This record gives sequence, C-alpha cells and structure tokens, in this order.
Amino acid sequence: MNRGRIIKNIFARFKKPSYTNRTQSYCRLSTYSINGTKSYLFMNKSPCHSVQYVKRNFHSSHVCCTVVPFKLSDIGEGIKEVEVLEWFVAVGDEVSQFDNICEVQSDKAAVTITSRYDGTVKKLHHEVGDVAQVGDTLVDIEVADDEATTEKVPETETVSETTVQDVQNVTEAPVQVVHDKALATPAVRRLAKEHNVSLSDIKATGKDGRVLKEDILLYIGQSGPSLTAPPTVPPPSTKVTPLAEDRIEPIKGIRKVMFTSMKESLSIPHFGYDDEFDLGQLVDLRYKLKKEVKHTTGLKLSYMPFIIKATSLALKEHPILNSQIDGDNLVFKADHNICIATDTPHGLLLPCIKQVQNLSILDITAELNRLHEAGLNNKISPADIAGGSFSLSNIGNIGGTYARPVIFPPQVAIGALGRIQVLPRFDYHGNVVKAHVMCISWSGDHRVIEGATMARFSNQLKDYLEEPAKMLMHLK
Amino acid sequence: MCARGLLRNSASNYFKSPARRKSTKKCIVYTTKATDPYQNLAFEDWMYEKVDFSSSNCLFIWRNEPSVIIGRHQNPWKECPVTDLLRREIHICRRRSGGGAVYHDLGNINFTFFSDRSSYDRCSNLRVIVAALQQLSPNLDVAINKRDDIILNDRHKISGSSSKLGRRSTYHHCTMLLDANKTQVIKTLSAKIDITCKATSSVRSSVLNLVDADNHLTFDLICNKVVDIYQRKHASSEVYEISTNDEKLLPGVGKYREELSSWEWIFGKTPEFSLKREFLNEALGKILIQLHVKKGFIENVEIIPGLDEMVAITTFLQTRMVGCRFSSQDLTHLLSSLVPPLDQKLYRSISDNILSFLQ
Repeated sequence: MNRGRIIKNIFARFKKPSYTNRTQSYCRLSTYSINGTKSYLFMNKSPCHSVQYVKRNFHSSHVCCTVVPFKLSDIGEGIKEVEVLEWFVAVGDEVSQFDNICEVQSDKAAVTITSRYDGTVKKLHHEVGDVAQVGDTLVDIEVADDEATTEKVPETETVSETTVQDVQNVTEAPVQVVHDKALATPAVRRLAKEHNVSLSDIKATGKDGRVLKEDILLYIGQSGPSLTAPPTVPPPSTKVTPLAEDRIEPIKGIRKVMFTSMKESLSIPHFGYDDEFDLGQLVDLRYKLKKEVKHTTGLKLSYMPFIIKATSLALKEHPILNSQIDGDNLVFKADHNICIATDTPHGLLLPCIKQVQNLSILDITAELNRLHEAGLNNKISPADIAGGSFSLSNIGNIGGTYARPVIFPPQVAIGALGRIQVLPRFDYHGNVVKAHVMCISWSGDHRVIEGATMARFSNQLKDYLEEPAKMLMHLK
Repeated sequence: MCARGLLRNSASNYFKSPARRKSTKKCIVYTTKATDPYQNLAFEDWMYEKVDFSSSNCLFIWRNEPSVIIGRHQNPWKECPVTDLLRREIHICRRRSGGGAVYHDLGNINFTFFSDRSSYDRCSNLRVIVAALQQLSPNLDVAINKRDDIILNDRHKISGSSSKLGRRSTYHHCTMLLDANKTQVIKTLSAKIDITCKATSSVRSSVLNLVDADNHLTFDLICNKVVDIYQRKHASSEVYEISTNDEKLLPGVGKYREELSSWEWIFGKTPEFSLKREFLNEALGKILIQLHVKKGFIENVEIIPGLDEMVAITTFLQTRMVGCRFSSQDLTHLLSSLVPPLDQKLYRSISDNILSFLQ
C-alpha cells in the first residue's frame, strides 16, 4: 500500500503540467521511453532510478550503451511469483519491443513476457525452473545508443508534454525535432520515421492512446519487423564488487528444506556418544584395493564405502537404530537406506544409498560416485533423497574431530565422522605406535534409544572398522 | 481480483450483490460440433493470435473425442501411458496454456473465455458456470476452490482451469465433467515410468461427474444456461455455430492444427528429462541404464557400472542412439536394426530394457 502511494505521488508529480524546470520535464519523457508502453507503476520499484540513469547519460559527453534491468511486472490476480519455463532469447540476442522474452507460469496460467525495449540481451537472471518474484529482474537489456539518448534535449528548448526530441544519429546528424500529437516510445517513433509515416495518421491501440510498434507495422502493411540492427558496441566489462551493504535473501530451495527439517528436530531430545577408532588396518586395506578398483571400474575408492557397509552390518545387530518414529509406533525399517550428508554447491543435501544390506562395497562406491556427481550438477532427484533410515555425515572430509550432528527426523540416529589423524597411541604391549585415529560422534533420539544401545552399536562398528577382515564373515 | 477462498456459494451472492457490474462490451459465443481436439485447440490459438478483444469478449464451447490434453510445460511420458494411448487411438495433445493434464471425451464440456489482458478474470468466468449449475440444480453443492477448480460436495473436482496470457489477448479455459468415462480418466492419466524432470506436475484430484449428483443435467441444458448468464453480463451478444476448420472464415487455422498435432510440438516441446532403469544381469550383476532426453531427442545414454564389457556397448549405443527421437517407433526400429559386434545376449537385455521405457 505504502509503496503504491509513493509511486502515485511520483506519478502525480510527473503529471503536473508546469514544467518550467527543464530537467524535470526531461525526466518525465525518459520515464516513458525506458518503461515502454507499459505502466511504469509496476516496472521499477522507484521510477527515480531510471530518471537518474538518463540524467547521467544526459550529462555524459560521449554516447554509450546502457544496460536496463527488465523486471517482472505484476501479472495480476494476486500472483506474486512465477516459474520461468522457457527462454525465447539468449545472451547476445537482439530483441525488439514486443518480441517474446520468456514464458513463465503461475497458478496454471502460461504467461508470455514480451520485451519493452529494443536492444541486446546481456544477461538472463533466471534459469528454466527458477522461481521469480514480481519485481525481480528477468533480463538485462542493453539499450542501443539512440534509444537511450533519444530524450536528449537541446539546451534552449522548453519541452511541452507532447513534444519529443528525436535524435537519429547523435554523432553526426543535427537534431531533428518532431512535433507530434501522438504518444509513442522513442523506438516506435524511430520506426515511424524509418517508414516515413506520421504517427498522427496511425490508429493507436496502446494504453492511453499510445501508438505501438504493431500499429505502425499494421499501417504500412508489414507483418514482420524490419528494423535495422542497432550498432553493436562491446559490452561494458563486468566488475565484481564486494558486498557494500547488507543483503537480504529469502530462505528458499534446499536451505528452506533444511530450515524445516532442522526446526522439526528441535523436538528430539538428543544425546551424544563419542569414540575414537583406530583405522590403521583399514588404511592399509584401502591402499591395497585402491589401484585395483581404479583399474577395473574407473572409480575412486574412499573410506566411506567401507564405513557405510560396516554401519549396515552393525545396524543388522541393532535394528532399533535403523527405525523411525511414526506417531506412537516405532517402525523398524527392513532396508538400510543410509543417508550421506553431502555438501553441494546448492546447499546441504542428504541423498541416501538404498538397501546397503544388499550392496557390495563396490556397489556402494559406484552409488557414492553417482550421488557426488549428481550433487555437483544439482541433479539429485527427490527419489535419491526419499526413504533414508540412518544418516552419516563425513564432516571430516572438510576437517574437525568431534561434531554434534543433528538428527534428521523421522530417523532416530546420526553419526559424524571426523578426519583421520595420525597420532601416537599405546599398543597392547604398552609401546607407543603410530595410529590412524578417526573420531566419531553419534547423536541418538533419547525417546527411543538408550545410551547403552548406542555404545554397543558403536563398539560393533569399531570392531568391523579396526579389523576389516571381520566383515568378511558377514558378507553374503 | 477476487477474494479467493471466500467463494463458497459465490454464485448466489453474485446475483444478489448490487455491486455486480455489467460489462459494456459485446460478447460473441461460438459453439461447434467439431470434436477433433487438435482442430478445436487450433481454433483457440487462431482466436488468441488474430482477434482483438478490446471491444468484445468471446466464449467458445466445445467437446473433444477421447483425448488426453497436457499443459504447455508438461512431460507426456510422465503424465500418461503414451504407448498405450497411441495404440488405443486416444489423442495426446499439448495445449498452449499452463497447468496439468486432463482427460477429455464427449462427456466433458470445455469452455474457453477470451478477453483482453485488462478484463482477464478467471473467477468471474467460473462464477458464470457455477451460477448456471446452481440455477439448473439448486441443491447442487458446488464451489470454486483456491486452485480455480470447481468442486462438488466439498471435495470432488468437476472442473479444472488453466489459461494463456499474452501481451494483449488472454484466454481462460476450463473443463467440466458431465458424464465422462471415469475409468478412462484414471487409466489415461497414470503413467508408471520413473522420470526425473522439471516439467509441471499435475495435481491429482478425486473427480466426479455432474450426472452423479443430478442425473437431469445434460449438455444442452448446461450450455444454454451458461450462454444465457454470460450474455446477461454483457451489453450485447451474438451466438454462432462454427466449424473450427473453416479456412475461409479462419484463414490459417489449418496451419495451427498442423503444428499442434505434430510430433515436434507434442513430444518435442517436452522439458528435458532423464529416465533410469535398473536390472539384473546374470553375469555382470546390477546394471543401471540412464537416458537423457532433450527436446524429444535422446541426448545421452549411460550404462553403469562402467565395466570393460560395458564401456564398449555404451559407446556403441551412444554413437547410434544419441540424436534419435525418443519415440516407441523410432527406438524399436533403431535397436532392432542394429547389429552389435558385441555380446549379443547382453545387448539384447540392454535394448529390451531401453524399449521398456516406452511401454
């Protein structure tokens, strides 16, 4: 409401007929040209922006292209956000006014968004599938020289509301003044002039009796646009600037999912149980197998597949840790679907490896690799995420020893693996030896899991990982 | 704009309300006997592209022979059992408006409301239909929900809406289940395929036919009433019956039909998607096949794990399958004509599994 009022005020100011101040009247016209035929009420949050930019242009001694953000206008019907479904333009494309820019969808309505400018597409701000809010910039369009400076006003002339200065070629042509009663954007005026038609002869179909490009094309009996291409100018180099002020970003997408599930986890009374595992034998084993696996499958063998498999073997003996709370019931899950906390460029995801109890260490390696790739390419599917029954976080991959992992509801336990450190430890005979120590931190849901259960489970896993050969006995 | 969610019994309020505004525009109502979905959709397109709605609104009432109509940005493979429908000669059409998939047959009535951008108002259109139903059958419990569906008895959907908005013209069309084949509704809108894509998903609703609630309702009764109420909303009106393929009256409509019924439109416009299928091979264990389809054409084939035997067959299939249309006919033809210089048994099991994507 407030914003509406402010804009209205600005609007009212523009409507005032007393334009004694030249700069002000100049601003009014520029608002027309920048926003095209559409009402500027929805275009820019504040029309002042556009005013400023033209002012800058006006004062500059040489002519250059200006990049205009093209924003998603209000579609009506209370639509606040839309999904971008198809781009009809790509970066570098030249667009004319009314050319299709993209197709968006909201509320089962497919909406074709058309350009309000003539120019070159500089940047697409959204990818197909992204959600854009009303007011968000959709594309940056570089407006060609003469369009941006069409409003250039000779120093001596006072501009009345219906007088427009149209400069055809700033660099060499003398200023041509077109006195015309009709309303139209500079682009349309240029088109009219190119075809030698007077705007007043044309039936205007635009808002408030404005002459549209289509009207001219219709008048001259031409179906397609035949505009001469605007001169191409090298794009201004993009500069990365540090964040100058606070930035507000809505919590959405993957972060939103994390937000919801982690809030839910607050209702779980967590208890922690930590231990350190000496992975010396596993380190040797992996070293021996690494080359073999690389050679036969092309896959990189990490410690994770061993840990995941061992976890599954330990879960078999402690099925309650692979259970889920469903109302008043505890559901003991048949499948060991082990979630792996994955740090993707888009946020934390917990894709799971399904039915680990049936998979070999090689299978797990392949699946981990697939999920890793998918994570990097934002291709993790909902099917990959659904159905997890137990979680592991390999935070040690980045660093750290002990952690305090948060349970991912409705699961009842999670483990965080620290990095493997080479540390001195005493062996059975009391000698100091070199040990490969990995710290492990468990969190359990104390409503259903006892500390003792967790300790036994952890010991079982420790047993398998410290002497991986023991796993052999249980492999089918 | 209407206050969504407060629309229960809106039809009766609509008539009592003194604030009800009569449009100063003229309205034109078109009805047709044509039941070819492509032809009727082409007529919609033609109207949207060629007609200026600044001084008149239009209503088009139409029915289709059995067909599945998917939204502009949907994936037919995800929405319906494509191969099965093609075999049973049920049309698959992609419309230009948004939203989800619907099943049409002669028991379903379609209403298309054309207007210019400034008079686009889905609620007001739906109120016309709800009012018509309530006048015909006062005991009928119909309401408009916030998805712009018309629901019967508080939960069963009888009408779904979608629309197309351009810079100047818009249309809003909606279905109405009068006496459609409900078994077909369910059968034709369930696909078993596991697809990963960003296409618009349909929202499943429990549906009911209007005749289930009032068996006196007929196509003619409803149409006449809707037209009557629609006319009363406008300053003046005209009603025509047209044939939607009349080239003389609608120059160029045939071209629209041609485009709408082309493979490039129906399947080629599918947002890119991937499919995967896992199966067990006696010798090699679990094998995963992944297909990536872009603009209706196969863009990539992956076979996992990348064992030595597989690398050769993957490369063989990749070089031949990439660029092939993702269609039952094309793929079957391609895969059965290939003679792989490799393990025939493995090749067969892989190609059979690829073909089963299209079932």
